[in-house]
Amino acid sequence: MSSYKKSSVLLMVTLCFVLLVSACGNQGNSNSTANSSSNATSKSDNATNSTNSNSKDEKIALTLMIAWADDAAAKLEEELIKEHFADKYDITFKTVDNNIAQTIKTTIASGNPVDLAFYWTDAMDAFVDADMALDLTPYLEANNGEWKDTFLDGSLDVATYNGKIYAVPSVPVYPMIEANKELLDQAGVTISDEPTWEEFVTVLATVKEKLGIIPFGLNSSWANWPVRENLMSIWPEEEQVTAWSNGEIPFTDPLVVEAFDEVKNLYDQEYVYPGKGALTVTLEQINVAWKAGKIAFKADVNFLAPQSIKDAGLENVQILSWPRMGPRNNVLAAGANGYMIPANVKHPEASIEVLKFLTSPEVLQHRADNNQPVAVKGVTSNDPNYELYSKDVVKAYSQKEITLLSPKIDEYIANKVPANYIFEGKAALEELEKLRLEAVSAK
Amino acid sequence: MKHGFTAQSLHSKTRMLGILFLVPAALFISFSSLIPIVWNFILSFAEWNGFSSMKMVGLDNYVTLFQDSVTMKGFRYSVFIAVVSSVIAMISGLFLALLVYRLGNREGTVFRLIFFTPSMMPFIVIGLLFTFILSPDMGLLNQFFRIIGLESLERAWLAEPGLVLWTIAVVSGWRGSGSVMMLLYTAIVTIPSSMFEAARLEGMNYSQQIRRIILPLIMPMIGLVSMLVLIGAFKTYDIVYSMTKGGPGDYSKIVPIQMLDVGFTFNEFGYAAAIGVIFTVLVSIIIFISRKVVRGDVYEY
Repeated sequence: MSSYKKSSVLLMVTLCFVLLVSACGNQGNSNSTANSSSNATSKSDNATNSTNSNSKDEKIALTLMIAWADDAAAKLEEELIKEHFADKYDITFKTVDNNIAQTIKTTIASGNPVDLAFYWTDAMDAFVDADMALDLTPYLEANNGEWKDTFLDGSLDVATYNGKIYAVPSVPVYPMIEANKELLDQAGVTISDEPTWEEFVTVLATVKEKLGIIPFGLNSSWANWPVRENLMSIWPEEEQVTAWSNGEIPFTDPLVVEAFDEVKNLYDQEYVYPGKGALTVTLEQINVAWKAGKIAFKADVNFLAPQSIKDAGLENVQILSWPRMGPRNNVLAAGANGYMIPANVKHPEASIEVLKFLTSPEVLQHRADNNQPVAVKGVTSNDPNYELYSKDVVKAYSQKEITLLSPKIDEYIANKVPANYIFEGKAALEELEKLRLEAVSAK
Repeated sequence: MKHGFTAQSLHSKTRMLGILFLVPAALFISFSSLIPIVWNFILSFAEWNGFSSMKMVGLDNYVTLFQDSVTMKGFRYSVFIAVVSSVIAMISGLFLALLVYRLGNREGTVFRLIFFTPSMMPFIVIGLLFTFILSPDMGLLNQFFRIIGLESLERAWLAEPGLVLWTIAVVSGWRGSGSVMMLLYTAIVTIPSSMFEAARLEGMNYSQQIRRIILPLIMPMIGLVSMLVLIGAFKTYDIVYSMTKGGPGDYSKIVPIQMLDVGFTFNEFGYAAAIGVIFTVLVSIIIFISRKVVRGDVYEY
């Protein structure tokens, strides 16, 4: 019995010791650089191997975060990259999700950044302000701008901050509207391809009256688009657009108030599906309503429009530019889906090489084959409607949006507008004005 | 002294062995919980964007916090959702436990499984499910009201500022009621059946038994469960995010969502840490108060 007890005690102590050692020792490979912290050894983790141990025979390990789960085209791009660089890089892919910003920042802060990440070229300010993004300008301008010239004219402007380019686009993104022509015919109305705001609202009112439907489908994630578009298009003079973008015009300006009021009117008059509850309607609910013929107009992103129309099974669809409140014919500089490289990436040359391949006409041609507009020259499409889904690419505003003035203004307009204005009125504009003054004084 | 043992040395050896067994777990908890808590507290006195060097700013983050209307509203929303959902979970869980206790073994097992199922579902799934159920146009709830002729009860459950918090709290409470039911049911079945027999002999019906026997005896368990439910309710993030993402506007932007925005969108990790510290203090105070309110005597039987 005594020996049994002793054996049990010895076994327990050994077990505890093993647990202790494994808990402390499960730190992965350690890096010798000053910024590194613990790494996971699992391939599914977002870790990179030690740089010091790389020899000529060892492939450089890269972690790329470039594809959304539901983006078949991006998944194909992952396969193309893996195949192309099979002999050179050991590439691990992570899926992009709605927490992409947090994920990138966490990896940067930990000292183990992803080597290349999807990001929207117009939303880089949060990274640029914190010096978290790699300046791509030297690489773009190398060899007389060889890489830079592959991009569509003006498409790099949105990712340019203080003269430096921090991201490159792959798919230009801008809002547009699809119109179900059959419903418009039933209501006895027509609308031009590039409507004014007044024309658009008049048609909405007529369709609602004649057909008894709530005509405009705009999901909650995109509810800020009308406000953002109106805030860019309402200014009579070009200089005012520039002044507005630079934060020189207050949010209490009468034209700004008018822009907000026009959007509020859409919700007050219940032109936005499904009426009450329009502020929280999801894209899935809008798609169901679109397919069922419950809405006559659907707000969409240009590169999603072909699939949306195909899924709905609608044959008679008119593609509209986003309605404009003022005299100019530009579209919102909604930026583009693109890619960025963290500033503290371990192998910037490798990241650049992969990025160049990823944004080459060779790779992006498959998107053009699926009617997706792309931001590079040299792609072709046999689809006659391809032009319609990218017709407004060249009409982007040259000025940046005021959302780029500060992350707080960006977050407010992205997530709280128009809801806060609808519920709080001028108080919401006063909050925005406070943020504008903070941002301007910080610059 | 043939074996060289005394009672005292055996006791101290046993104690040392116990301490030795606990050391790995204590180390793990220290690394995963205690050290991050202390680090968070220190960070709350600093300004840090997550990348460049940290700068100590004293109480600036706390001053900003109490002047930030969005954050203060977030505290109110978090407390509201936590308290209301906890009350709903406790009341409905207790009610279900009392009902299930009355059933026989087989029926009781089936019903316990049915009522516990929501507690097994991830919050994200619940949130997405109810987004569809509560959809104003095609959602199950509004369609039900339409069918039974009560169109006046139709609402935009997640889009009206005065209603969205109640909606989230009810959904969260419903989800938690299953766990409460199981825990309280477990407490009820430990009550000796002789007590119920004696009560029946004295002519007590079930509601009287509940008032005079069950509730007093399980009150300590009710107190414990209510504390656990309240702590869990304050950590609510995923159900709110999946249902409303803090909207409409910021009318359901609870503290965890605000912290994420402050930290990862605005790159103000020091301020986010300060929010976390104040939130922890607030939750501790509320837990303390609830422990005092729901307090029961311990009976020996």
